Amino acid sequence: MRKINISIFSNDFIITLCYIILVFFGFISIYSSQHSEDLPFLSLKNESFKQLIWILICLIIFFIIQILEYRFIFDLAVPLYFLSIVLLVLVLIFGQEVKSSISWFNFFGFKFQPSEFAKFSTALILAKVFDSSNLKVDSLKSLIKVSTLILVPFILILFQGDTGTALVYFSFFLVLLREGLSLKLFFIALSFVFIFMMGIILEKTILYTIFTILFLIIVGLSIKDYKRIINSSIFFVLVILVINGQDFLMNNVLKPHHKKRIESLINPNADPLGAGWNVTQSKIAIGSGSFLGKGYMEGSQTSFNFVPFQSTDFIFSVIGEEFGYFGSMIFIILYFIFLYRVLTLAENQKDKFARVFGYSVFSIIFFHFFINISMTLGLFPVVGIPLPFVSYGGSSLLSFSLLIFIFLKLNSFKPSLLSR
Amino acid sequence: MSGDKTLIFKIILGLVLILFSSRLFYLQVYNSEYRTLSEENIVHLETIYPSRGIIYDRNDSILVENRPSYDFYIIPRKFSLKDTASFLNSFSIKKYQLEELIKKAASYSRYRPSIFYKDMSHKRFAQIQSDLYHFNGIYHVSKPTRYYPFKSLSHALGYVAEVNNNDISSDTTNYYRQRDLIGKSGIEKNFEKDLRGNKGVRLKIYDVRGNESGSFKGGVDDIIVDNGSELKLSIDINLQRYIEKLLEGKTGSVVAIDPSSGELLAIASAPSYDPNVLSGRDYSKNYRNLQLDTLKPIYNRALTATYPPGSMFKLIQALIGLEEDVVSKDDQIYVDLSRIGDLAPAGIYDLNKAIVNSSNNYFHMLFRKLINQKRDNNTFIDSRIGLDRWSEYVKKFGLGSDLDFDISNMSSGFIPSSEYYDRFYGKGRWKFSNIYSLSIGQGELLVTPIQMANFASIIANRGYYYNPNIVTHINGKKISNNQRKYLDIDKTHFDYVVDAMEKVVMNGSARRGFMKELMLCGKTSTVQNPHGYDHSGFIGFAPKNNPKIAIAAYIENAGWGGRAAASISSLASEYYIFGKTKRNWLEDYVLNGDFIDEEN
Repeated sequence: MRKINISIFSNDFIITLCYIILVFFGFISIYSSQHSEDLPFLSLKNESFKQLIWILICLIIFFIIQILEYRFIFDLAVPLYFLSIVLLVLVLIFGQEVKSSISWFNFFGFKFQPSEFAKFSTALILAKVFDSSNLKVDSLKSLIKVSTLILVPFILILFQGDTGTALVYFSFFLVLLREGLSLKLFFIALSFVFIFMMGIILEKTILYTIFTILFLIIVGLSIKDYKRIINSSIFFVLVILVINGQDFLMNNVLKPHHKKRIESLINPNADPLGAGWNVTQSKIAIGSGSFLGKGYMEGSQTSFNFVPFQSTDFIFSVIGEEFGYFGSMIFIILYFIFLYRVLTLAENQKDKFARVFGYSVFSIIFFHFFINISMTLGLFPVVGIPLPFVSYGGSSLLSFSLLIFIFLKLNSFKPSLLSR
Repeated sequence: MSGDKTLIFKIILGLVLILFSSRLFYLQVYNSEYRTLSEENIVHLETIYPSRGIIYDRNDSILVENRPSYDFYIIPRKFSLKDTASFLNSFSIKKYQLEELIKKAASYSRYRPSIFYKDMSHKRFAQIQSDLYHFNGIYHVSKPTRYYPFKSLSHALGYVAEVNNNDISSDTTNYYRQRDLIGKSGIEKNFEKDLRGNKGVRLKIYDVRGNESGSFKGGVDDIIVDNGSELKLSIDINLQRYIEKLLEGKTGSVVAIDPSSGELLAIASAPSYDPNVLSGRDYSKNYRNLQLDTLKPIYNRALTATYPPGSMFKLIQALIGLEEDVVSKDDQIYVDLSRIGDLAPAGIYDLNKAIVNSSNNYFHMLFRKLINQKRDNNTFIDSRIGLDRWSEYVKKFGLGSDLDFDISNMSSGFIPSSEYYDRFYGKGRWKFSNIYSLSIGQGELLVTPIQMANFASIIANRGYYYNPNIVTHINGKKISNNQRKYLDIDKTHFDYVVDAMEKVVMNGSARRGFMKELMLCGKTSTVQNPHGYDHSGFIGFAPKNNPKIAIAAYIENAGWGGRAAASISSLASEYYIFGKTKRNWLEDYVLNGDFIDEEN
């Protein structure tokens, strides 16, 4: 007899507690950013009220997942992945354009973003693939196999013009790092991305010159080491290909607004009133918070709508302004405890499916957290991705919650796994 | 398995934690620059309101322009006064009112600006401007307010007011914010997108004292304001004002069209109001007063009031009769007074004489021939076929349609169809005797004054029209001219009817409007009104050849069409064609306004 465990207390206490506090932090910050003379709380136009509804929906989903069978989640991985690919294609055809990216379905006023959902299903399929074929990313063949699963949704989302969300798919390569991907290869790939980005800012001739000089120096230094010369020659050819490929992609594949998006990602000053303005105002808001903050609901920088997208991508600026350094650090440390706990729990999973999924959850949330806070603090270009659990938005709250809930479920199932 | 698999991730986590906490420490504790930037040296995102498009008449007189008015905001935390008395005086409020306002603002937020005083006129602002320096924590934003120098053409121009929640939620472009202005009716509403332009943004730095100390980054990030487009109307404001003067003290409307283009020369509805009262500080009070007025001055009768057309409809019956060949131009018949009440005497009539004398019995007979053409032996079915054929003709005259006019929500009037009578009497249970009132333009028929002006224009053109239009140019660019619409009714039929209309004015019911040089052709209506005195109606055009103006007038409860409506139309046509009027006696007659008591 298998016992269906539906006790909440069998879930990890630290993760559950952190989750609740983070969602609460998010709600009060959205409430503060939305607080206005002309907007009653109990109105479907008030984002804080809508967020409350979404939080309640998440609560219901939590209990539904508690009674799901382990096998059910496992079996769902493949169909869910294909469903999300289909949705990503459909949204390109039938989707609604919001802020120049076509990533939303509109069902009777309720908006749904398939790209959020696709993160979750990609995490599941990775876990399934690693588990069922006992895969290890140590050969080029296996790397290509796994990368395809990640890059298909990535490219589809890129076509929607939602560069920020697409970038998040790179976080799955962190999972591969745990599953055998060599650190060297990882950094080489990272440097190609870097060169690609450089190609947008700098003239091609400058890049050619730099890399030719670098190549000649390396060759000169390793006259007798043939292997290194061959390796660096291959690398050099790849660099040239990347630089030219970037040019081809920018001019022939991407539409003008995609191009502008990538350009402003690299160089926010290209769009000073959009991205640059956000960052300046966000920094002023956070900086003005001082050590103890201005007090809840007393942030002044929202007046005249100083920080745009304050309830979504720039929600941390509300926390920084109203709770100061003290409150911000509590928030940041709380987030780190949460991430650390997810990481260690993931590593402790005996089951490979659970482990890979746990690492995916960690990577996705970490990536969002890192990019979002960085851009709010002016350390990273504005790419418009939400802060998990905190930013306003039903699709994002739902998909992040789903990730955590499923992971908690997989984790709590551990004891009975032995008796399987 | 070698070592801790999570090590690399823990290192990354650690590095990021150090990065974030030191960056936060730098921004929030170490570096005081951002604090001062926020608290004192504020970069304000100032919205620059575009100036709303100016509206001109056909001779380039300005009909609508903008005057600045000022909104004041208060930030309670920064609010302090050197001289309370001068402050109270500037805003003409009492001390307790000020305290209440501050309390209300502070309960919202001490740091954020709250609206304090709305729509201060430019005149008042100039008087107190020098004192503003002493009022800390008070900021003002200037915004353009509509001004109507002629106090005329109120209904067609419409008015602007602050957006309400409906406007904001139905705005898919997300342009409007609370307290923005939006066109609420008339041209202001229908050409909102052209008139409003697009808001700009200016980034300004304020110094410690709250004074503006320059633009942020030298203004490179500002968004240039895009001012609204100028509109040019086809209206002749002098004619418009002259007609409004003639309509004073009356209820009704007059529409004048240039038949050669469909352009509206004048569109007046009475009683009217000064459009300036709906612009500015007392908007809501004044709007409520206009709403409560039993004569409904805010209601645009020219577009939305529906009346039975009355005897002027006999012209349409005559044209359909000629085209359907149920009557010919030389036919003479004896008409007795047995069928329907009539003011015309019994006798031998041809069509011309029937129009001039407005013989009800003649048109009763004509309409019967139109409806019952013996297309079916069953008289009920025959009536049905006849009515459907007839109403297709009537619709060709632009009746029952909104004519695709520039100002929306105009009424289409009503042309009864056989389905309508089916509902009313039951299918197959009505025949000519149930619908004969239509023969003289009474019964269920309903038309609007602008439709009748368009009808006058059709006759003036002898058989075609242009959809009436009022806005001719946007930013100096001509709006593409609309198409001539032919009715497919023979031009000679129109010539015949026009001759009769000339006689109506020369020695028929509209002889009061006769003037030799004017060559006015027309037809009067005395519209039966069950609720009071009959309505006085007239349509006409002048001069007979090469008409310059087509006009329709409805004056409510003014009795005979030959009096108020014909006189006003005749004077307006004279004024438009000759630039002045010579017939002071007729003007006095109209202005005096005793149309009922006089007996002839």
